Amino acid sequence: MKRRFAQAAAFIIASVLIISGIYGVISYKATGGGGGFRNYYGLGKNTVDVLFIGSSHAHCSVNNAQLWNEKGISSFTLSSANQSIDTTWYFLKEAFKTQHPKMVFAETFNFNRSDETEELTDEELTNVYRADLLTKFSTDTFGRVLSQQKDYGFDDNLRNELLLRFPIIHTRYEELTAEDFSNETSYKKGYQGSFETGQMRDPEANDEIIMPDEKCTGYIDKITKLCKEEGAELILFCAPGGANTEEYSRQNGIKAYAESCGIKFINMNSPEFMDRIDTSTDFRFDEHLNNSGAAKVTAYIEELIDENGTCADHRGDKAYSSWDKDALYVRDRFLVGSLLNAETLGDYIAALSEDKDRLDVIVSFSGNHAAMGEEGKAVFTGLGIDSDSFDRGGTYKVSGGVITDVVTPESDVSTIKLGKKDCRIKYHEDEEKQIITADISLDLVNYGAFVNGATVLLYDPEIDAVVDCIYMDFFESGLQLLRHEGMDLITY
Amino acid sequence: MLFNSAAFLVFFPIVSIVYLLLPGKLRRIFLLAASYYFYMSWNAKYAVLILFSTVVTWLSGLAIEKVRTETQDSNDKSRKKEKAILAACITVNLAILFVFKYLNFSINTISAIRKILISGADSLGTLNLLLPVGISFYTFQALGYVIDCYRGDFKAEKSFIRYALFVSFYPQLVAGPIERSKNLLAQINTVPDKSRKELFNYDRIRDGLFLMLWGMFLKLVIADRVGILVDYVFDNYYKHGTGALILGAIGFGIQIYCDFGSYSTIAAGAAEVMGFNLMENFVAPYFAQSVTDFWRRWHISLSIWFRDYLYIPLGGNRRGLLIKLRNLMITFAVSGLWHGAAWTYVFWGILHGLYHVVESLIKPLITRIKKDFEIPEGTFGVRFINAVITFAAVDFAWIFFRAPSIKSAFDYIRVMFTTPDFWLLEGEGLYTLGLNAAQFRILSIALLALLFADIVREKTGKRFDRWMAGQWAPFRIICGVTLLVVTVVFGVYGAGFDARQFIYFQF
Repeated sequence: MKRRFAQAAAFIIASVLIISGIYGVISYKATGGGGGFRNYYGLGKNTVDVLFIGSSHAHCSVNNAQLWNEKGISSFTLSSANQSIDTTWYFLKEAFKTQHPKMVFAETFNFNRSDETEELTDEELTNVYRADLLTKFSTDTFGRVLSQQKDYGFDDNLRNELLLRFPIIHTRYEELTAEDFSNETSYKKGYQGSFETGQMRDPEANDEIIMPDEKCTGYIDKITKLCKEEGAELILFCAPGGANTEEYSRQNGIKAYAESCGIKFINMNSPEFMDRIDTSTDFRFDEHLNNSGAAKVTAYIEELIDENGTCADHRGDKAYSSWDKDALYVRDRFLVGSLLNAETLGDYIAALSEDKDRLDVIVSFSGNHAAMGEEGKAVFTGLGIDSDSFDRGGTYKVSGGVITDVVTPESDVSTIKLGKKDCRIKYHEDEEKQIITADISLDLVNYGAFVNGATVLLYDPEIDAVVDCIYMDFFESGLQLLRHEGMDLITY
Repeated sequence: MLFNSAAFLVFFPIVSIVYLLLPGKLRRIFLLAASYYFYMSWNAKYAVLILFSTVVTWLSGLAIEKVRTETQDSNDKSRKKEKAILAACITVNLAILFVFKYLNFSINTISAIRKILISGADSLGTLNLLLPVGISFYTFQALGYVIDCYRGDFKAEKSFIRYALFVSFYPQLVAGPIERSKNLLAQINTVPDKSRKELFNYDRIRDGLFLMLWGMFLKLVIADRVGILVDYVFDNYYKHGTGALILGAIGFGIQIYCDFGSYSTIAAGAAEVMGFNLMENFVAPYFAQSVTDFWRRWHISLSIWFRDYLYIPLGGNRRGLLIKLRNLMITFAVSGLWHGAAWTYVFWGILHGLYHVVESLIKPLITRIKKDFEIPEGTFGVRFINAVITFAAVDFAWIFFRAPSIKSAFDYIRVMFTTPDFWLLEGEGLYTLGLNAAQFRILSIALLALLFADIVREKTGKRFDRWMAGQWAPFRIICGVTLLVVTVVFGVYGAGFDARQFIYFQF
């Protein structure tokens, strides 16, 4: 009997372990913007002082790294695109389980929207999925799913699928990416910036009030009550987004209701606030603020946090090191933003000057790289590659302006350590053309190889991430500067 | 309630655990209530039909027994009375079956004939009736019981609860196997006597659960996946050619085997967990050496039913070759009609009848050829060729079973033989038929597992769970965990898919 019990136990334990392991891999990770639950759950207990929730405007309008760099404020953005008010409520409830922020900013763009359709729309289904599939499974799960079923009127079949989760997520085996297996950006706090610039219309300010419906006011009440119980100040805000007449009136409704409940509401589409914003330089093409606009909103939020006076400066505290990493990540993105404008290698190196000492730089020469001539050699000298090294060719790791590792073309597969990762280099010789080219492989991505020229790869060892990768290829028309196609640089 | 639904995931463990824990006397009542709940989760109103059929057949069995007991001396008179009761019982039950399953089909057929005979004749109105799930299964099971009573093969059951449980036993209620009273009712009678130790038999429960898991794998990983390809090919056959249509036909052969086979397997597993042993309904049918052999392996419970209650009463093969051939044709035509109220099913049945007729006629010739050419029986090559020929014949007939009409079935076959498209196998062509490369890979690996299970069944004569029970424990655990994980991850279910009903539910 003991043996049988052991067999049954072995089967159950193995099944549970494997299935939960698989669940971890195939479950949805993306919250639809913001820092996401995956990163939120990884935070040290009670480290978040300021929480941002709400629609995509929340993660496009507030730069968590700016709050950290300027005041040492530990903030996190738990937003999602088109976040409905019920989803905001479920996110907030979940958020308070592991953190006790002192201030909660809820972005209200999507709050006061009524949907008359009986069928569950794709947007509603996405909100339901986000609230139910991204949060940890707990006793709350049942109540949440049942409450959503009441709100949206979906069928028992969907209810069961949401409770079991696997019926919804199991087909993801066809779309898995490296992100599903490891969280390379666990430090991200939620800001999703952009260098894109587009002209935005002025908000259509008016005095008309469209009051929120019962569902909306009910959830505002719940959010208010929970924040009160948790001792957090709740501030509602509607980020700048070129609100049209109806959207503006709906925000007037939110304002009216919020003020009747004694909650602070900031309409950032109001003419007074819009004085700070430049509609020709502060927006992207899609009604969200860009980096420039977000900096202004963040500065304003910073003032409100200052007024509250309960949030300490955590800079230098080891428990908050992930905020340092987030700030580095955002700094890297801003660096790339300036590197993007470089048209020549010289411009590129010049734009890099302030950051090159904190980054590891891989320079790998291929083919007849000498064709880049004396001008090219001089530019590489600025990166830390001396004249002899340039002449010899090969692959160099430059840290702090000094060569720290070399791979010669004669080597077999060689490894250069970049942060915690291994970068593998393999030279290939084309005997017919008498050309030697290098393959640079990092995290299963190949960053080589061009025929005549060099690859320059910037790597941030602090956050273990590639910052940028460019190729200099020498064609008949001269030296061309190309960017690795895998780099997503404009919006991040 | 579908076996592959979340509701069953809750229903099954609750019912099984409560059943195993209940005192003997209450077990049958509980199981009967659970079975009716299971049935009523589709359509509560139609429980009245099954109850009515149960009452009629139960009373008929008792009445036959009573007549036989009271009139022991006058055999002829008694026999006539018994026959009258049997006839009335069969009539009532078949009438219900006819109204709910065949009335609209009959009206449509008459309408079509009228239109041919009378120009401008209007269509006759049909009734808005929903086909009660599993009506053909429980009706045949109940009639089998009454016929057994009439023949004296089984003593009429006195307890209504026991008999009602026999008719409505939830694992096999809606899609078989069509159990015989000698097997299932006899087991139901012993339910209260089983000690808790007997019921909590670890090995039996483990094997039952493994069987259910295997059934779920067949249904969710194979049947419903290949069903995507089959649906696509049959819906778009006019756009494709030989390769795609052959693939569609083979796909349907696999789909219906795994779909129907999985239901019987899950049913047998669920019953086994509770200590019941249902008959084996499928025995590696695509390894059959002839169409006759195929019907000894495919839907065995129905084949036996038709053999015992139709073919043999018609005279079987004892009254000469012509009568035998006639009986074969009648039996298979009725079997086709049993499967569905459409001429495609009848045609499919007739085709199988013809296969039997041809096999009967050429059997002496084949025997002669084998002898003259010294073809070694039982060698792999011969068995393989026989199996391929049989599969081709059976699969060809499946086209009529799957097609929406006889006309489109013939059209499908015409396109299949006249439009070459063998370049389909090159490049990405194969992946334009509803399944992408990843899905094809999963399907191929799953089919290898099915092939392995059927080889095991063929070589060892043991059902897959019984064979597995004899294997080394770590191997069993690895197989069980793998099956579970593969089914959970690669099964075709949940969001984006409609929970597919088992094909045989419609019969």
